[in-house]
Amino acid sequence: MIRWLLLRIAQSFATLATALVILFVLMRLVPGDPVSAYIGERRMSVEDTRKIRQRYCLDCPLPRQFAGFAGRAVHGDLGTSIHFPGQPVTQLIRERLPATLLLGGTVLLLNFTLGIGLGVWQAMTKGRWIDRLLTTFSLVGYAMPSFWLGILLAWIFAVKLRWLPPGGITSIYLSAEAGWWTTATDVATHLMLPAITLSIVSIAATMRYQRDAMIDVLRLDYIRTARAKGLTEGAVIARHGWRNAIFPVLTLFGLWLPILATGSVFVESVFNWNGLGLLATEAIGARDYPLLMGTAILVSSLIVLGGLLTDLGYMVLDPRVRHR
Amino acid sequence: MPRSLTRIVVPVCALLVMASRVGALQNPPDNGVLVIATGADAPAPIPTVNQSGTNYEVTNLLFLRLAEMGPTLTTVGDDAFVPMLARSWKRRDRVTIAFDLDPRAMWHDGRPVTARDVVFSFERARQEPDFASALKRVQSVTAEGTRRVVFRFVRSYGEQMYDATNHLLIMPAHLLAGIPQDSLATSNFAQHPVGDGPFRWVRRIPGQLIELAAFDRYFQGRPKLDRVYFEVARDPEARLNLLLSGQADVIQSLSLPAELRVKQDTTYQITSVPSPAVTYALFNQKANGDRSRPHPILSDPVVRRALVLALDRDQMIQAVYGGHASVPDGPVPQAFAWVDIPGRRAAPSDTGKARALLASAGWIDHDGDGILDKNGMPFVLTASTPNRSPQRPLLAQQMQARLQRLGIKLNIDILEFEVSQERRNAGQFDIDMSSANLDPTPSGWDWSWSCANVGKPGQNVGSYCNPKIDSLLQVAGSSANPVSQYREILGLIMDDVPAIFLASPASVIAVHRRYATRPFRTEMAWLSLRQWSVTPGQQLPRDAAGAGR
Repeated sequence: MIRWLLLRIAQSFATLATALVILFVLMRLVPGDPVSAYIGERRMSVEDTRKIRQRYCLDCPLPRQFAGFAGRAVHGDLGTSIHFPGQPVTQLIRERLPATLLLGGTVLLLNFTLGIGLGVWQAMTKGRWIDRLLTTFSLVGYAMPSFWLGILLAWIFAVKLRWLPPGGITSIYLSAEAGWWTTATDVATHLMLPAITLSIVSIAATMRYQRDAMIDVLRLDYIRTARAKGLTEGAVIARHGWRNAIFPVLTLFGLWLPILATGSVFVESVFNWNGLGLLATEAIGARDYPLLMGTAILVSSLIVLGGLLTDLGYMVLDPRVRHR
Repeated sequence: MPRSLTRIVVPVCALLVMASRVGALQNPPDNGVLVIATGADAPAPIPTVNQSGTNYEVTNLLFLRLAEMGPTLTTVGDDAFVPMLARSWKRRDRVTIAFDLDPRAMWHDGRPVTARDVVFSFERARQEPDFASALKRVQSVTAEGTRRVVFRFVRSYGEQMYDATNHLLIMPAHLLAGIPQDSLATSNFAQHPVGDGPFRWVRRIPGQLIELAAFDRYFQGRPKLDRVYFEVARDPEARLNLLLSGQADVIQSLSLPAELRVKQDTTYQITSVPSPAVTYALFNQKANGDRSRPHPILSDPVVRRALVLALDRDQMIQAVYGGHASVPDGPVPQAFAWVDIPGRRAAPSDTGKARALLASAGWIDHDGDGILDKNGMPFVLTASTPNRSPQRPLLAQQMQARLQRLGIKLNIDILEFEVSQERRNAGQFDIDMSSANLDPTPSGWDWSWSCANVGKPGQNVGSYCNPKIDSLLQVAGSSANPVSQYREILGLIMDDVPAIFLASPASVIAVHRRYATRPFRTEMAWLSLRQWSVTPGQQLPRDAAGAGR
């Protein structure tokens, strides 16, 4: 198993490196130029523009640019942003990462607790009214565009009712010296709308997968045998049923991990949630190569990590995979 | 504790607590707190670091200039300026001005502002590409003692005062001398800037918030706004929600649909502030993508004049901007009207005349397909417009509809901003829907309209050239009063039509009605915040608590 794990990790690094080389080249093939974007419609002479190009080595040959980037990256230095002049990319990512982790983590938690729980419940109550109701909810939730839902929720709960804040991560009046409880409740109220918006779509998807997988498993002979042995329905579901029905959801987890890091751009935008998604969008718009590479490294790492964790999950839960 | 002591200590403590409460509630009745919903962060509010967007706005509240432009925004002469850090100035000769600093001016750390700070700031600014061009006519800046600073210019010209005061905010030498310019943006100073303006730095939460507080010892009088918050929301919808939910007090650059939503809430008043921007359809006088050949259609000035006459610009801007724009005469925004030629206005729409001009230039619908043609070539053009601007694609659509009536086919290419800039710089366009925030001084016209800058990226990308303009600019550059030269240049531009100057838009600002505002400044809307207050009796709880926070 250790050998497999080491091999899998090595594979992950190779995938990551390949993805980054491709991204580095592709980025420079995209029309648009970071210095033009930096200058925008301001005035800057040709000579001054040249100085900026020199500063970021944008006039260097591509292999030299890549060597510089790779050399710094292995030492943890991802360079300096062009769009945010003078700001180190690692610092910009570090500033935005907590917000992303908080939102993504909350959504992931809601997704895999409520999504799995409701999916299992639906399978157990298959064909009854509760199953039909939840199926309708999941279909509606899955079909609903999250940016539209976000705008709607913000308008109702923030603008009209004024129950929840319309955006941001904390209240602007929250003092830096505020106690942890005050801070936690303040952050929680700000988190509510974006988390609900993102969760509704993801929970709906997880429910669908979990329900179908569970229904398939509950039809199998060994479940009938477990029931015939006199096990309680709870034990049948938890010990024999769910463990075998979790695999499709596990695969889903591997896919959700990177999406939640940067895929919630619309929701971050509508709720002014200052995370990595917005940062990546700004980097793309400004053709900020160093920042783009920084966010790309993070997303690629999450994709690779998602795959690795899924494989590990399979291995832990399924002895057939472990002994293959 | 003995009972007698308790009898004294408890009431005293109670009184102290009450006194502190009363103190908190006794915040003056016109003080307050202001929350501005803004679209961008201010990662490094330092004068010599990239000055755009919120960075520029915050920097202008933290730091001061030697003098500010007066309400007319005239850049010529020495008298149209308002003292700030410099309480007075005196001309020594045609190329030298001496400024006397206000002895009351001090940095937020309590140190006095000195001539050394001014010298240091100019030396630093010269190292930065953003400032180098603007300061090229300043030969030297020297200190005479601690309170006098002397500017020497490379030659005699009418806008020396403007060059000495407008481009640069003064920085504290005692805090920055040891920090190299390259690492300034990441220095501790960038996280906690110390300025000399009416507001001092409190904190920044990256990407979310900037908090400023009134500087109690500001030498021109403490501002009435105890706190100013810039709440960052990149999405316009999110900014609007901040306002309509009562979390923000002000937003800038409202779109027309957003303005209609805000108007439904009587808590806010809408103000329209002339901006320094001009939006124009720039004609490429060289062939699209090939600067060695003239443009087959647009190099003919008769055709360009006909295109201007074909458009009813008043109607167009009414449709796109509501009432918040005017038709400019040339590259002169509404706010800089002192440059306009008295009695001469932009040509009104006249489609009959436009048609006749086109026919005189040989553009007739010979084949009856509804599109004009000449020597077998149809009159087809493409207007490129960046997607970042909501208005420019709409203006292009308005042009398209109007030109179609004359038999001109206008295709519209909506491009990502970065791509549109790249194509613009390479001359790969017929018509570019451009917009520029212009300097108050017309001396900057050489940038976009002089023969010397033809084809240079970001400069005269339309390749327009009238040598007379270059010689007039040269004369203006060494004239004590260049207004007549500027007006002559403007007349030439209006005659030659290198572009159709479509709109001088205003910035639409929504403000909570409780504020007693001062006129917004064209060059920087928030510059007047130091004079804002809350109308007595209309304070919100957060206004009353502002100073005690």
